Amino acid sequence: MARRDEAFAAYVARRRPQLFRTAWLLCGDPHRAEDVVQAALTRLYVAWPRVQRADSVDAYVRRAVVNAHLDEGRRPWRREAPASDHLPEEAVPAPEEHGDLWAALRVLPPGQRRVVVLRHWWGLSVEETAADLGISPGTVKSQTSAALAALRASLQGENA
Amino acid sequence: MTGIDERLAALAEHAPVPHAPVSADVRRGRQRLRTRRLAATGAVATVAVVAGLAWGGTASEPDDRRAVDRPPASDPVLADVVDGLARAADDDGDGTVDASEMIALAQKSRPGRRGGTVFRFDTGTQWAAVVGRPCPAGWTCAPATLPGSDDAAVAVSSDFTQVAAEYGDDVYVITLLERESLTLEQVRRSVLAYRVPRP
Repeated sequence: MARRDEAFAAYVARRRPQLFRTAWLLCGDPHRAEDVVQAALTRLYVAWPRVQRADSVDAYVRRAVVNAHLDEGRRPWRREAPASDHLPEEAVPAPEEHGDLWAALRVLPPGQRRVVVLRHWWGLSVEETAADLGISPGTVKSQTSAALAALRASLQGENA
Repeated sequence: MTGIDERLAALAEHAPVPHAPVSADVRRGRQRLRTRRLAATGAVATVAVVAGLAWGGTASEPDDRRAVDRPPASDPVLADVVDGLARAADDDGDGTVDASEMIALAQKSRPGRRGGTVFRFDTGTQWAAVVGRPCPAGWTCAPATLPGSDDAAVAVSSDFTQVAAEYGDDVYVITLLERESLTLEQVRRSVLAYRVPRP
């Protein structure tokens, strides 16, 4: 087990902050984000030999974060609140200079938010995003377009 | 949108990243892995019992000289079950540990035979402990090549074929029963070439 632990620990030490930021952008709550990251890293540990051999650790853990976020949103106590898939209003005090973007991101539908985070925060291509989310490239393109239009409208509204 | 990447990056920099010890992530991962292995081992034991019953009776049967009736040499149902278990032991169902490949390798190692029936499936973590012992009398042990595995070995005796394969830090051993008929006592007394040490 030592080889797995050593390599896994080195990867986590390097990547954990970025994974947390991803989860935080997706769900908007630091506690939920930490739950998502823990769930994703637990899955990663179990699959570590395989994903490391395939040289696809980043891709695997990105998908695990997205899936953990989806799973987390499906839990019964989350479903009780109809607006649970949207970022909570008071979840994070966004810094003043980013308040408009935070608010705009918050009102995006979850699917569009995932696309925006993967494409514009991770810098993935359309194809990579499609593979991560298990959707077609066409859907990624249309969701990106819709998300950017919505963000643009929100930000222009804020600035008007 | 102009600058969305930069603005998102700047926003993400303000995320309240917690100080989470890496050791806690390792501990949670180990715990999950242990749980999965225990579940897989328990299920495999069940398969072995079912297979044993299919071969002709229970251990309490008074007449141990009675021949064990083998199920058909190719037992797709049992192979599928074991394959599923191997995958479950490795990951959430999409692992690369391929029990069917291991069974195929075992069958290829005995040319001219139809192939045996899965008798045992064991998982461990220490390759050297599983295959490092001297090959027992009556066995032929040799390294082998198995796609996707880091190491593999095959052992053949008149009664059994074993394939051991290492995937990362995990070791899997499949044992196939080869003889047309064996008494339960013979099965009990059999010395296997590859054994996963009990923790």
